[in-house]
Amino acid sequence: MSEIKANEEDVKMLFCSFYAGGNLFGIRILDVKEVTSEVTITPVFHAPPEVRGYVNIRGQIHLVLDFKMLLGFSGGQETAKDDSSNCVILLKSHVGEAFGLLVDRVSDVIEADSSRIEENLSQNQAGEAGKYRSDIIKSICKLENGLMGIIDASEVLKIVEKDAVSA
Amino acid sequence: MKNDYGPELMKEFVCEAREHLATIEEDFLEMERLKDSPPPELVDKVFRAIHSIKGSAGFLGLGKINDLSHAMETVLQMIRKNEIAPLPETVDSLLEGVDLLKQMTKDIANSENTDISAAVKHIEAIYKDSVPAKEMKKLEKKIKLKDMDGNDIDFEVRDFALKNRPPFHEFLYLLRYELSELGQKGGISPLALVKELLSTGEIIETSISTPAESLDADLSKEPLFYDVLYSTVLDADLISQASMLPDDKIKAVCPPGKETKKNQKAKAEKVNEEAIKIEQIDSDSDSDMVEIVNHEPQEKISASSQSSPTQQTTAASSESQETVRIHLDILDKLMTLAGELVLVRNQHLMAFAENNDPVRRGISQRLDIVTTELQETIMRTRMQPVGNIFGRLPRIVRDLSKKLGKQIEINISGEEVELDKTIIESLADPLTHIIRNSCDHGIETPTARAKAGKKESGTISVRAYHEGGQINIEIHDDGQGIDFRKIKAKAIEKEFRTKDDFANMSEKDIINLITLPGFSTASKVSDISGRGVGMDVVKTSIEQLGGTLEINSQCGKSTTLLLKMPLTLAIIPCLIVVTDSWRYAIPQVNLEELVCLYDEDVRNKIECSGVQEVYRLREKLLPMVRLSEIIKEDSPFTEKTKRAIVSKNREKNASEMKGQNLTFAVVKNGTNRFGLIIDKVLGTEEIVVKPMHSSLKNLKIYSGATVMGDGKCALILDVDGIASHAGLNCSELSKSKELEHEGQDSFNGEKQRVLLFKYGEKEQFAVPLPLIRRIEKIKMSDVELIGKKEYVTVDKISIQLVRMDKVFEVSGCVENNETFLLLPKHVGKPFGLLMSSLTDIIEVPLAIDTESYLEDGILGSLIIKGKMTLFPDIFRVIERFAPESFQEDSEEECQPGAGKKILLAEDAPFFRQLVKGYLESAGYEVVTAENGKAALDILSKSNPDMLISDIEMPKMDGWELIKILRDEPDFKEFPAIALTALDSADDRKKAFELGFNDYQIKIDREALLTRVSHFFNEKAKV
Repeated sequence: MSEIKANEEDVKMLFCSFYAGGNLFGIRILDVKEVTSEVTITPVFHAPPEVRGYVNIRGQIHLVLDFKMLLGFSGGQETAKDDSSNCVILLKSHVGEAFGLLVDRVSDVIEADSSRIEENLSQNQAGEAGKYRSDIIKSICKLENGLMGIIDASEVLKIVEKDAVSA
Repeated sequence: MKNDYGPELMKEFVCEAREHLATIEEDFLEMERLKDSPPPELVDKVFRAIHSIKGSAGFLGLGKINDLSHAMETVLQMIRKNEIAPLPETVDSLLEGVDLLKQMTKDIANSENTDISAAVKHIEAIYKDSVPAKEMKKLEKKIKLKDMDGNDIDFEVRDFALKNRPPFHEFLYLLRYELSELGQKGGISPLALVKELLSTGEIIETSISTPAESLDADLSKEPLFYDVLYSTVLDADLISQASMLPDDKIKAVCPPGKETKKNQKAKAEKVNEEAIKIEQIDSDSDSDMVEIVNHEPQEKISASSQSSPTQQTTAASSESQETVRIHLDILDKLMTLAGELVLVRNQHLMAFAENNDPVRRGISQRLDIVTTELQETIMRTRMQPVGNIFGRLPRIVRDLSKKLGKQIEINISGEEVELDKTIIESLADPLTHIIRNSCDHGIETPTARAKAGKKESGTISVRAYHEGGQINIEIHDDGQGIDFRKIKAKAIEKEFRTKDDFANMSEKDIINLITLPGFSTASKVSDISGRGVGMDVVKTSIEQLGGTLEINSQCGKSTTLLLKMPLTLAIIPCLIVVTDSWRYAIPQVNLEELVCLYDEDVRNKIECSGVQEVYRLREKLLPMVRLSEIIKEDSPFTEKTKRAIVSKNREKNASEMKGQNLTFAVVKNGTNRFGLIIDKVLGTEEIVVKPMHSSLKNLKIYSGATVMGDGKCALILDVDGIASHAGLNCSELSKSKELEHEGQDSFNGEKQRVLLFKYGEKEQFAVPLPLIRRIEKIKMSDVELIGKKEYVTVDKISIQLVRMDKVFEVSGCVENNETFLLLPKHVGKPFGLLMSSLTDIIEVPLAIDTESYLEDGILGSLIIKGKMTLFPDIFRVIERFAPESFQEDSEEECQPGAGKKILLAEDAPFFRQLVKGYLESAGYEVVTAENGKAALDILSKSNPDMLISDIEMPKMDGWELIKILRDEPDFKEFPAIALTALDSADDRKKAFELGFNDYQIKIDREALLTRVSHFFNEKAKV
């Protein structure tokens, strides 16, 4: 990891890419612990709307966050019902206390040249779905056939905490 | 002396020091007990503990700890050499030192700011006392050391310290460490170094030398040198290895009394052989050396050298093999994994359940057994012997018995019983408190004991044992016991209970009252106990741990406290319930009982008090909370949400209730007790508690989460959190007395005693006592019929019976032979209200609800004891029942009042409604005000013709109102009547003085109406 940072100019980075609400996003592969689809989520009532609930992964309870709700997409609840295509991306412990992101579909691991990654300047600019919470989309990666928003996973729990307090 | 060693190193030191200190108290006490001949191995153990604390502290630059432990070490050294005996005073001072050391290691960062001078003085006094002053001076004298060649070394040491080193220590070295190097990356850990040094010798004196004095060329780096005078059995070849120093940093020092280098060398060689042969120093080599350096009498040396060092080393080595320090995180992780393995096993068993292949079945079974055992073993890693906290009790008892002038012995058994680490830690304070109590209140003074025919010394026994999956800890003392009569008196005095309450209480119940907050029977408040915060705190903390406290006492003989504790907190028994198809766990400690209602009861038994649903459980009012509503609404319940819930459920109940049932769990936590309505109960289960995710810590209704047997998660409910979310007013509910009697918030201060009675089968009625003249028991057989009218004779007066079902739509009278007759006050005509049975006389706030139920003759309703209760207006009832009796009167009275406007100032809605009714029925127009202030407003706005005012009102009372009124020129002659419950001559006088025109007592209808009409007539005449 330190190497990557050292000479960012011409280094290739790996991202775990996934779809949410028709858009492509990516998380640094080093932040991802595993991807799982066979989960039963127990809802935690009173929690902020993006909190989908708890799930047990090998004896450890993880918090599952609905990625679309997190970004402010509406209709997160609907996609949950056909959970066949839903996947949870579990993150490593250095990102934050045991949690995962519920996304529509996990796609390939994408290798991207660091020169193709740009800082996300469109802070709080409307995406397709209106209100976008762009503070977790740290940067944008230009791919051959589109754009990929890159998630700063360490920001995610901070948002949940903020929402929990304000609620 | 400041060093910047990493926090890790400090932590390690603190950890070790605490370990040493943990057992040291007991050892001191043991030494004191055997003061005539303290066992050498014991003294040695204590000495080593203090010594190693001192050594490490020196390296870490903890000056105060170093100084204090040094002083203690000196004393111990003398005890070790049998120069002084461990007398109680000596042990006192040593214990004082231990206390300070404990305190300093607890807050290591501030250890340098601790005042140790007093303790050090006490300790030094011991050895200074025992050694003649002259000798002392000599010993205190600093002597210069010489190296082997006779050159002076720049290092001073007290003669005393030097003389006290063990006789078999052949060699003295001056070791020079560079402190900045120690603890650095790759360097030696000072703690490890101290350990190493202490294993083969002793640190006699240490000092820090400044860089300026050193020969080191590189002054810019300013290295700090730490010089250690080390006394050991190791010779020059081995010392560099042990000290982990290069040869040039080690200086051999010539021990005083030995001069020649040659001689020294010869001896060294001899020892060397021995040392190399066995490679490690043990008692064999010691004894060899003893012969060489024989300064002391033979016996003593052989005793110390044979018993102590051998045992010490073997004990130390075996201990280090037996225990390993493991971080709790790892244990928790292991536990999680074991739990998961259990799940896998369960799935496996299910998958192969139908498989008859014996081989596979065998494997399954083995997996089953191994998994269970693994889980149990891992659970045990969290367990600690209860002896860890029992250990400090003898010390407490010893100190207290001295302070109190009592003779107290303590017997402890069952130290090996194991409990969860968390419980052990939190049990320490309550246990200490209980022991203090036993010493202070329990055991009597020796004289008192002798008088009572008991042994002069009292005994406290503490016992821990397993029973029924729980740990019981029993604290028994043979003191004076608890006098339940005293408790009773105190409870009455402090108004915790009334005399009536005691009628049904057993002695044990009464004794257990001492756990109420603010209860202390000690007639004298001492600094040990008796501040009134005592047993309640103990009880609460034990209950928080999921345990219970039971007190038994035989007055004059003994007191026994029984603590029942769960084995562990990590796994707790829970009731698993279902609501909205999700599972939740309610901890068994919070659970009192389960109640299931069927069919019509679902609707009828759950009543409404204001906006709060309640259930009457064995005559106690239990607020009800619906879990499904709780989880739906994420902001705390307000009046509005509660109302919506109530109305929703009322409707639902009305439409379909046949075949329905409703289950609720009666839960409590501390003072909260309520019914939690759930969909379904699944059963009880032992669950592993996991904390809530840190981002969700502020969700108050959960206390944690768990993984269920099927691998899915479930949330553990927090009873307290739910209560506050549901807006249950805890403080109000805690007063169970009020809870029984009132359903509504007592927002209106005025309370009134009312008679609760029944007429028909269903309805409950209430009449305020001031309106009742008397109640007469009558027999229905005595009732005479005249036409359709019923009469009964009471005191030679025929009284006509009034039947309420003739006036309102209520159920008919239950015809018992014995019924009751209510004779109202202030009613001119002989009427009596028929009642079928009397329920109670209670005090209620007269905040009656005038909206829910209105009928002519009913003042309003109020929820009392969970039931809607109607307040009949007796006069109106009689008027309506027998209109003919009142016709002339009312006609007469109505005339003069017609069209007149009266302002009525009255704070209690009940009386407001009552008086307003009287006046209106007499044809007056009435405007009401809730207090004096509101009355003034109305007076200035509209133009009433008269004021009738209560005296005691909030904001502005009647006195003030009339004063202000009479100051206004327009109102000087304004007719004003005081209407009050105050019935003293003084009040009456005051009322007239301040300007009231009349004074009426609540509430004589006819007198009031007469006076009112009188005033208007007067006015009309004028």
